[in-house]
Amino acid sequence: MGESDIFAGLASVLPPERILGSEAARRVYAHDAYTVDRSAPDVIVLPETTEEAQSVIRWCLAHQVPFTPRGAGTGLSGGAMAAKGGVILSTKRLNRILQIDIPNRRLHAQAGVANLKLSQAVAAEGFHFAPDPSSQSVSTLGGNIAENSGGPHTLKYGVTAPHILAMTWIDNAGEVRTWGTGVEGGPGPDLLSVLVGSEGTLGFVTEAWVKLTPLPARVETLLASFPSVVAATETVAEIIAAGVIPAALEMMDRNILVAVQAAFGLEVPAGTEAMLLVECDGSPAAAQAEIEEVYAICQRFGAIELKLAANEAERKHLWTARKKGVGAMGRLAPTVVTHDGVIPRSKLPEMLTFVYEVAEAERLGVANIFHAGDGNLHPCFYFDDREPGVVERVVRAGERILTKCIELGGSVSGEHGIGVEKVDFMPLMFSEADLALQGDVKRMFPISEFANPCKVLPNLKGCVEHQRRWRGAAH
Amino acid sequence: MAGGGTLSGRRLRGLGTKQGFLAPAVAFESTLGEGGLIDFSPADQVVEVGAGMPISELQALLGAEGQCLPLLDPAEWGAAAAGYPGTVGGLLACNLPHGYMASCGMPRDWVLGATLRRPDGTEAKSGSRAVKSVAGYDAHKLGVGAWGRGLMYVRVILRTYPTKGLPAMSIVQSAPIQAPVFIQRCLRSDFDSMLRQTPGVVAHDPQTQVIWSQERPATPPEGWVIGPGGYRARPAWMDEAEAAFLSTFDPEGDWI
Ligand SMILES: Cc1cc2nc3c(=O)[nH]c(=O)nc-3n(C[C@H](O)[C@H](O)[C@H](O)COP(=O)(O)OP(=O)(O)OC[C@H]3O[C@@H](n4cnc5c(N)ncnc54)[C@H](O)[C@@H]3O)c2cc1C
Repeated sequence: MGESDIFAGLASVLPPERILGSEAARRVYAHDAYTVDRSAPDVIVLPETTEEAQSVIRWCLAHQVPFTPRGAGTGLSGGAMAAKGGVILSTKRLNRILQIDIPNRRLHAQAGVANLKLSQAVAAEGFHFAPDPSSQSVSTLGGNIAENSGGPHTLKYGVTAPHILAMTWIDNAGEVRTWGTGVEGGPGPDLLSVLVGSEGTLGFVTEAWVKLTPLPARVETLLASFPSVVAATETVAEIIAAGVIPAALEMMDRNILVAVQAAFGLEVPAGTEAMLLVECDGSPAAAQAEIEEVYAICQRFGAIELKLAANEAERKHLWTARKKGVGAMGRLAPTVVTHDGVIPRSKLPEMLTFVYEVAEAERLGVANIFHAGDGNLHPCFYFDDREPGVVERVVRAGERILTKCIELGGSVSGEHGIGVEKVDFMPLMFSEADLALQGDVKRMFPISEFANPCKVLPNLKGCVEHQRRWRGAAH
Repeated sequence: MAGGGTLSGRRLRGLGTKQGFLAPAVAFESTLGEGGLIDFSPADQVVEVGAGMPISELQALLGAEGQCLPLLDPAEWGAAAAGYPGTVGGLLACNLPHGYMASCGMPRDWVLGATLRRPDGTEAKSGSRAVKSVAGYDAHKLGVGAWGRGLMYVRVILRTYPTKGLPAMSIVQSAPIQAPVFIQRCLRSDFDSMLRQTPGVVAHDPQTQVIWSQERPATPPEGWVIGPGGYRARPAWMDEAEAAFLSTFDPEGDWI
């Protein structure tokens, strides 16, 4: 079915001003924040209610038109890419907070609400939505659910799944379902935990009830500079081994610091090769005791400088490098590709050494800014994509790093998901029997080859022939 | 949905401490053969064990390194405690409320990966040893709350907690507990009235709104009840989810 037929057909279920089909729009929606592969949709639709979204999905299913859910498009594995064209089902207009229930510590919102808006809506009442991906000012609740997103505070508060109490979603047969209640647990297999993190392949989430977490009474933030990456990673291991669970434990290496220094005037003590940002929270006594222990460990492992925030303004300042690091990378080279892998955290020293070796061998710049406490690496390769052959080297470097993650007992994705980017890595981590198990997980729910095609599992129907086209579209 | 007569089919059984929560069965399949430590890395706070391992054995092993699963010592909780002891696989399959739930979450939140067996004997694994991972569908969470149906935990990878950091427990116990009890969970706003209405309360947790009672409670307006003999009161979506799960993983109804 051609683009104009899709447009005309959908105009029967949605007001035409909420169907976009211009060349410019199609180009913008051809990829998310992972830009190596691209595939333009025919149209983009903007439903405002569950019912409207259901009408669109039913229309697509009836006319065999592929459809792909999309939130803010900050995903880093191509999950929101229209792999076979068709319709992008955007949550941009599903942007209302529907109910705030402070007595029961929960909030009901549509899937397109930005993560940070959820926390802002209840901050005055002393609560927040704990999952805090670094993209939180724009990334959406629906995207966070799809990717089971984490963030700097995941170490203590967990990923998205335990914070989702219930959700309304449209399955791939076009039925609206509401699963979950305000009360967690209970007798029955935990399918909600499986839906969260399924990368938008099992259904389209339109609304969710999220758990609200009290804001901590006290937050202590420490920025520590180290003379070597090894000293910093060993400090991470020691903090965990000492039985302290900080709220956040983040690491930045020298190349990130250079970029942030240039962009935002961050002061970096001479001889610094890595910094750790550590946050402890809880009751005033507990937060203080923990940060003192962390402080002492950092000293023992040779920290050059230790800065403890004395107030909220200083705390914000100490977070500058961590929050602005990826953005500042743009100063290092025209293109930055952020990889994502995760390992048991005691393996960090070995893993980082390997990352630097790979970058050198592939003649690429690499900077590391990541969730050290979770063992979740984000090597950012920076390069000029006009240089012939460089993309292949970046892809190869990524493969080598992920293979090493698996070897060390970790996983090919800590938080960015499989999307289209890592489909071919799944067989590295999982046997045929393991993948068959995952196939059956998918089969518990209605399946359609038109619903968010070519994501997560390898060898899906009619996808292999598209792969080359995606790569070609980028260059 | 009340528990009825004796069921046909096999019932997975670990140490049998939670059998009282299920309808009586005649044929059993033991999980105890799948015990044993596979790997423990205190520095990572991650342990992998055979799912038939008794929790008490796991706690001893973790304790030697200053680690634990955040579960109450049964001695503190009364002899026939509701949440513990039992096996590691049973802990996940039942996913029952416990004393540290307010601060450490549910057993669901501790499972990082698993090898699962289907009723036809085939096995497959899911997840990893990393504390977070988004690599395909989280099949290792599926057996959580399934009470031994559909998929059996054979080996599990769990995150552990430092013993030192454990907060105070939030359960208030008012009488000795005879397992199995009725366990209910309700909304915060309904908690006081449910607590008043429930006959024979033996313990409650104001932080997680869980009530343990020797007698059958009314069904909370929003929430659920687990009780002896297979008594269950739960929202309709759980029936829908369970039907989807069982028709995929145990269409013949081999495990009951
Ligand atoms: C600078 C930067 C920093 C980041 N930091 C982090 C971080 O710290 N932690 C982290 O986990 N991730 C991080 N990410 C990745 C990304 O922000 C997260 O994956 C985020 O949750 C995606 O949300 P989104 O709204 O942008 O979703 P999109 O990118 O639009 O979509 C992501 C996936 O979700 C699906 N989807 C979206 N909405 C729905 C819905 N309503 N129903 C069903 N499926 C849906 C899409 O199909 C797609 O597969 C970062 C990205 C950037 C660019």
